[in-house]
Amino acid sequence: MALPTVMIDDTVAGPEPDGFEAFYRANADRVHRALAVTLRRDDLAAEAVAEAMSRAYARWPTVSRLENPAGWVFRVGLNWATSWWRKVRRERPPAEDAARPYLRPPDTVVAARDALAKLPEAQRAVITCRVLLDLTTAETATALRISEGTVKSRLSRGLATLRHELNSED
Amino acid sequence: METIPQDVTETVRAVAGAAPGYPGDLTDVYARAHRRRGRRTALSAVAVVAVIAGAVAGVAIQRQQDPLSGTGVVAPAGSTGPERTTGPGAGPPGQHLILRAAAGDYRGTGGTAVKLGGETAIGELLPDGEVIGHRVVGARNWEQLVLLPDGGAVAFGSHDTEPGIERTDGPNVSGLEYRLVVTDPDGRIEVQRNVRKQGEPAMLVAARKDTAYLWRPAGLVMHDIPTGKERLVAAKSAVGLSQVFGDLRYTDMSGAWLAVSRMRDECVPRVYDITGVRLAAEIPLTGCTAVTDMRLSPDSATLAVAYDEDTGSGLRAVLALIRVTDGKVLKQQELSGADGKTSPMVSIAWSDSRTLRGAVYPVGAAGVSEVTGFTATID
Repeated sequence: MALPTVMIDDTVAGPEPDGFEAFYRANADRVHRALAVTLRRDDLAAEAVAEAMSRAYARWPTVSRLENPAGWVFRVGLNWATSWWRKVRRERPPAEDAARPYLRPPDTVVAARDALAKLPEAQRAVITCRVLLDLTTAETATALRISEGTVKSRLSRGLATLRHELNSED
Repeated sequence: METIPQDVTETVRAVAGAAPGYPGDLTDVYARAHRRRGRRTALSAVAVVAVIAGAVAGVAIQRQQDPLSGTGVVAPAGSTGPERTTGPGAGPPGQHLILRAAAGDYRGTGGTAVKLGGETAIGELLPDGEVIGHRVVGARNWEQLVLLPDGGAVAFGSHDTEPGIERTDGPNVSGLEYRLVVTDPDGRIEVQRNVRKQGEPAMLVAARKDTAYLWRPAGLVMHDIPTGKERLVAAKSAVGLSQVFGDLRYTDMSGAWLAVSRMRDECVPRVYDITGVRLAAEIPLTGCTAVTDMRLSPDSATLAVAYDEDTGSGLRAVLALIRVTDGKVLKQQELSGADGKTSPMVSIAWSDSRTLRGAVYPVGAAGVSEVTGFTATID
């Protein structure tokens, strides 16, 4: 009875699904920045976007019909990064800014980034979905597969912490 | 819909704007998709062979004897349900108040600061308010720890056997072990086993000296610690999950009772009797917007749930002790110290079947974080 299920391969669409390239060009950088803020690792965010986009491409006929394909890509990328990275994260410490002085942002951004870094990742994900991907509460809940109540809760706590941290920086 | 203040929006956008632009290209995306297609085709072929081989082997096994085949459900060894509850003093042992996800420097009341997190130590708040760290051995990245009544421990975490080696095989990364480690009261390793199945997440939910309960994609499994043999105790669909990893929000286990809170309706925790995988209770939490922790009492009669309640003007952290048999709220109280300013984590544990202890603490904050304890007792 398992044979028919095993034989079905529904994950790969045609070579050039209509509209995927336009979607990719419009959203890859935006999702990458959202993941970079959430994950606090640029290199991991780039890998996650590539993985998630390749899955979107493979399922494009389905993904393109979603209300918010970019939210789907964000969640898939986030899940990929957290499920893989948490297993090896302690083996490869993140690159220090000092090693890339040419990329060091202004001090105000560093302070803001540090404040964001103090949030749990789940709260950062909600905030980045709302702010950077412009998703509504309902769209964020759908994208992250959590309840709307959880979105509100995480957003409320995340914003409170962020404001507290930003004010204490003054 | 909650409005996000303009200054916060600008801050977040500034941080995102400072991140390097996306360095990838479309060619890489297509290549990854094609590689994955190749892997799936190969896996399908392997699966077909496995199904055929399994069918042949299954016939042979059925001709012998397998009392478990076809049931998918087994009673956990030594399990006890609420109907077997005994009086205070003779009841099952209490739970240690482990500080979930605590990472950084922490201090309770009067004690010295303790460094927690990662491979350093897992924290516990003692009844006297002191925070102590339990050193864990045998793996580098600890996720769960169950302290046993005899002072030993069962721990679960991931361990990279090829540290520092760059790998690109994604979620199914090679050279990684999920280690289940049992230590004696002196911290010596008694059992250390790799329980990873490639490509499958796993999570420890409860443990005794000889048995660990793990969530795997198929459902809840009982892992016999001396032998490593596993049996499916409750299939995911039997406890209302379409998928374990992705649909499971909170879970706890006591005796033969399993509490489950799902992503899609986390404010309606359910309790299952896993001896027959029967839904024993469905408990809607009035006003709840998000669950923050959940524990079954040692006698399995009461479910403690910490959750955020929407007051209309904000959130307040609430603790409720709920009788499993009829869903009656036996106790409800606001949690002090969880005022939303410091993004607190809440962890709870039963000292005995009538007394619940809890801790409120920040995660990942700079400096030394205070751990605030609280207690709730069933009158």
